[in-house]
Amino acid sequence: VKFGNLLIAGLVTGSIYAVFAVCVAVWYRVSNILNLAVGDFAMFCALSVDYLVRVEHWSLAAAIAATLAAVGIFAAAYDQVVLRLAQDGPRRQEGIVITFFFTFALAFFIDGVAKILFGTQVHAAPALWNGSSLTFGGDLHLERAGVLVLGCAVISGAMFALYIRYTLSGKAMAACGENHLGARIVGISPRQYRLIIFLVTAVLAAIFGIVESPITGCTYLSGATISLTGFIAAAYGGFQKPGRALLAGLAIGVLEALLGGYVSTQYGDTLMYAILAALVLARPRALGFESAVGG
Amino acid sequence: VRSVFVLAFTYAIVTAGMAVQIGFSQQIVFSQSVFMGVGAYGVALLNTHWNIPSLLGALIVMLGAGLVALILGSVVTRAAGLALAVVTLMLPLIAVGYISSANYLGGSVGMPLTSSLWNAATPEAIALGNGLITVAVVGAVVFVCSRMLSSDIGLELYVLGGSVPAPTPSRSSAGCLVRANRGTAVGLAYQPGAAPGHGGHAVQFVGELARVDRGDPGPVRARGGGGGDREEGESRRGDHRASSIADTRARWCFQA
Repeated sequence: VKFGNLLIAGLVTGSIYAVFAVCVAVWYRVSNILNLAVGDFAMFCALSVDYLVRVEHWSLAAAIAATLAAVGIFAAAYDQVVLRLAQDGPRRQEGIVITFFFTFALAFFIDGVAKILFGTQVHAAPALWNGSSLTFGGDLHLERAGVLVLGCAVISGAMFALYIRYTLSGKAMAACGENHLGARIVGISPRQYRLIIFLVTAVLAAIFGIVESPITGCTYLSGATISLTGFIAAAYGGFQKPGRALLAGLAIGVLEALLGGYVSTQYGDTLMYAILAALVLARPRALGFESAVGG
Repeated sequence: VRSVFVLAFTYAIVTAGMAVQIGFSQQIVFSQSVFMGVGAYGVALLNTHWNIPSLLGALIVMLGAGLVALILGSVVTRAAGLALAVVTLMLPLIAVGYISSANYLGGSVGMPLTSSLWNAATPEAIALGNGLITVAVVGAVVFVCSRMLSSDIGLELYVLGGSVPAPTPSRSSAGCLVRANRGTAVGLAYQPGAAPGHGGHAVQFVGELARVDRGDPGPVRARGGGGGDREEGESRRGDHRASSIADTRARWCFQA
């Protein structure tokens, strides 16, 4: 029973990691840039919906629609103003430093705006599925929000994996990241795909922020943690494969829960990160770091 | 004014190390904050447990940090590029997880620092002395880094960083010891990262950052991570989350 409950808790936590890992992986696939602001979109959306419903007394549906529209518009504007200048100008910038730092400043900017607008207290968007936790087999418990989180993770991960693998536009999208110039020569528009995927992943992260915030709570600083967990899970998925990122996120969540339950509550997280670091050092190629290993 | 001064020079010291790592050799390393923690906690430990003056403690910890950087650098440079970035991203997480549960290091509250680097009769004189020490550390770090980068080691790091377009086998065959130099770059970057933890008065800097996060005017404390927004009535999970969020933000601030 203990194992079962730990497994369920791990899968729910892992689902949170997984969705953000998928968002990071998909956008990296098309742009070769890591979206470190993905968690901040989630945080902003959760706090915004909470604020509009709790303080401004909007209906939940209207608050969600308005916030998602705002996130979408902002993501599109960021792509047009910042990324377009940096990536599509006469001096296209590449390299590992660029990989990280394009979205780093964006994360700080969103955090600052959220702090001014929503304050520093812990809040959460209203739960989309209210009620007591679901019970299976007598003693196994699963919160209703956890079901939504799990479903959201599996659907988004599978959707992106199938899209890239089986559709023409998915393959075109992947081509943008593999060879930017080659993609342009054969008529693919990397700029268009980068914009679309950035917008879609920002909105997906925002939706997931609303779904998962009732479980974890949210402050204006939550985005950094969310992005970090997504980044780590995406790393174990090879950064470019949403299906593997999904599985990696779930596996990390389960490992974290089992270590916390069976080894040490205090040092469970520390142990998990030590194991993950050792894995990268021992088998970087097997974990999908081929492009990262230079000799 | 003192706070701004200390902040500026603390960033300058860390940035000097990161310039070697990221700017020169193009290797992303995310654990300068760990060495700030080594400096801060090292001096605080020597100061509170063994009554060693902060200035002497700072020198001892600098030597110790160099040794730790050498060992850690030789391990983590098994990886490169994104793999190195991911591995070094884990180090602050491991350090914060350990420190926040280690009672002898003050747990999540931190350790008090009982004396300043420079002792004098008036607060102004103490601030001036600490400021001059900070400037001296910045100067020493920049001098050492620039001398090393203008040597043969610097040339090899430049080649390693991809500034000269050549694949890894070509770099190796040209005599560039790829992995050894990656280790050198990591060691060079880590060592200045440790300096502001003790030499640059960063025990107070980190403590002030934590205090701002918590919103309470507490005593000066050494912390490897940051504080957290603690709100009444939040769940245990939310509390843990808020704490880890603040830790993460502090780490990312340092990394930036």
